[in-house]
Amino acid sequence: MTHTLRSPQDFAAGLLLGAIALGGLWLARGWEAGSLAMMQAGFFPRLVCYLLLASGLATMLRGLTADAPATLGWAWRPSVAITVAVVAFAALLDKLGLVLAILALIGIGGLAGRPLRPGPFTALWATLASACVAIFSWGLGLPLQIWP
Amino acid sequence: MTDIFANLWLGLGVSVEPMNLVYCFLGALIGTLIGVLPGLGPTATVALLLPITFYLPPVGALIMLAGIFYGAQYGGSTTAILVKLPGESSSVMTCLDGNAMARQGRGGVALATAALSSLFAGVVTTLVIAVAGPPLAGVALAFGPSEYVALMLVGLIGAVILAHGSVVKAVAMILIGLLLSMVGTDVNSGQMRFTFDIPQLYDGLDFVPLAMGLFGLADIIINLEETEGRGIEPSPIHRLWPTWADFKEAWPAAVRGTALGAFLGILPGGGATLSAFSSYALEKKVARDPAAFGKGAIQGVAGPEAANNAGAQASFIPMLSLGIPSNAVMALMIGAMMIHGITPGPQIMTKQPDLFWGMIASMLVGNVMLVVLNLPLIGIWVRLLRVPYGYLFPAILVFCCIGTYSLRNDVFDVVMMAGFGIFGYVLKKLDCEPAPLLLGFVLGPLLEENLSRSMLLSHGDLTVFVTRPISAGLMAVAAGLLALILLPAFRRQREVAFKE
Repeated sequence: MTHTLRSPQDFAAGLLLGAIALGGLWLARGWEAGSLAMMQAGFFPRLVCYLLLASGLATMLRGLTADAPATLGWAWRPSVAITVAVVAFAALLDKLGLVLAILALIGIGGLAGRPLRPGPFTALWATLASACVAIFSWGLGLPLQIWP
Repeated sequence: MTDIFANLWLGLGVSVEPMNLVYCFLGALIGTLIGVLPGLGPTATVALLLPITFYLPPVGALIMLAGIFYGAQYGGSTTAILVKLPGESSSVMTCLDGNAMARQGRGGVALATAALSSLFAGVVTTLVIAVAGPPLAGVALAFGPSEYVALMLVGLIGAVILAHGSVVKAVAMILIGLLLSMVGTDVNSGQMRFTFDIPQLYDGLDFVPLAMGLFGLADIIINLEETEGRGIEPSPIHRLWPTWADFKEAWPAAVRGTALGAFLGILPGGGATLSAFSSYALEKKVARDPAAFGKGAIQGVAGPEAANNAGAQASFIPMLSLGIPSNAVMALMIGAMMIHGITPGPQIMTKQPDLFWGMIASMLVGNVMLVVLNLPLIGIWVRLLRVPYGYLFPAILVFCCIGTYSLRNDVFDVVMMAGFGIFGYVLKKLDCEPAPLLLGFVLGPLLEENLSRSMLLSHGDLTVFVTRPISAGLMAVAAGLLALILLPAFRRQREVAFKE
């Protein structure tokens, strides 16, 4: 075994799994586990977390011993733009209504790829907004706020 | 035997009454139209459309609901194939090869295969329900908690086999799914688990934001990353209809999928998802060229599609005969029946034969109608694929958001979806697959409940799983599958199968 990481991907995956397992165990610390014959709320979570911890450790070990491609890479632009767009939609929907929330969603979300020119963008906005109002508000009768 | 035909005949008489035909047609049509929207799976569709049926007579209402259900199922497969968004867990498997086919310009073939496999499965399963339904209800009764645990282990191990990459990571994904399924109030003790004092989490996580985030949003990010912002080029469509060669490859898969689905669907809790997963695993096992799976193998569409339709339909057996809902849709159906003053249970077959057999026969009519309705529409659905990604992905975003919002009219679910989107992207970066996670999430509550119940009944004795015959048989299957994964020869073969 060498000291360099042979597969950062596996090592990182193992770290993440281990961290989730430890976090779960910590959150479950106060719950009663009971016994095998009399399981309480804490039994199953602990069982799953221990198994998860074991598989996390095994994956980390693999990261030290097995070769794998080194590049991880992270696409900042799409991941941030999509997430911010969806959260903005959630924040605006109840305050400014559906039409403007969709504008924010596709405006910010569009930055994830190559943004559309103003003309096609407006057409897309109008189509999506009217389709959503027609289907969800009129068709299915959802209590949606449409305008501010 | 003559009894069964007399019964079916009675049912057919009820279901081809003009008004009932109209209800069936309307149900299938509306179900398809709503179900085809990304994010609105059968459960959401049935829930949204339930109020319409309150004004109909009981038989008409149930026939229409069944039509909505088939329509929504088929609509869900359409979005799974075209934009890789499973509306519910049972179409996750269809995404893999169906979407790969669509990207190769064979989207029409995939849609037609899905429709025809579903039709075949639907017709066969209806006959199975008519012939075997009443006696099989008795077998399902012999299922105790330990049998359920064993069955679910088989399903989960099956999910590990069909995941890409490392076995340990696939197991870990199942475990994370189980953890996520525990979020909410523990049914037995009232203990809040992993809720972080957020009221919206007290009832647990919903499937839709989870699946939409892990598949829908994460996929958009990955597509944009891999193509540097241009998005996937829509591939030219070569043909809409399956060739004779396609047909010859697909039909054995559809037959096997139907058999699996009809069998697993009868078991309460088995249902469509497990059937589709098992069928995909089986097809991969028996295929001459397992390497083609995940890259547009037609068997990977025909098998799971037949299986999920057969499974979904067979789950009417425990619902109608025992009053046990095997999934959320069946629970809604029972709710609708109660509103009409019908109590599902063993007595329904003898007391209200026209209703029972009318509904079963309408499954036959509904499946045929669905295909008649949908085959001409395939051209329209496929044209959706020609839309440039720059327009398509904002539209997918909008439907994901609003579909998730429509579940409970709460923006909290939309924020959850955004979180799962990033989580899905992280998993992809770490070479972990989200499909086993979803299966773990769906089976989690059932697994925990049955595990604790079987241990309670056996006073903590683990041998109960191998001393009861049905459970022992299932455990043997599970152990066999596990041994297969660990055997070096099979491991090598599996690695070859997943090499890209």
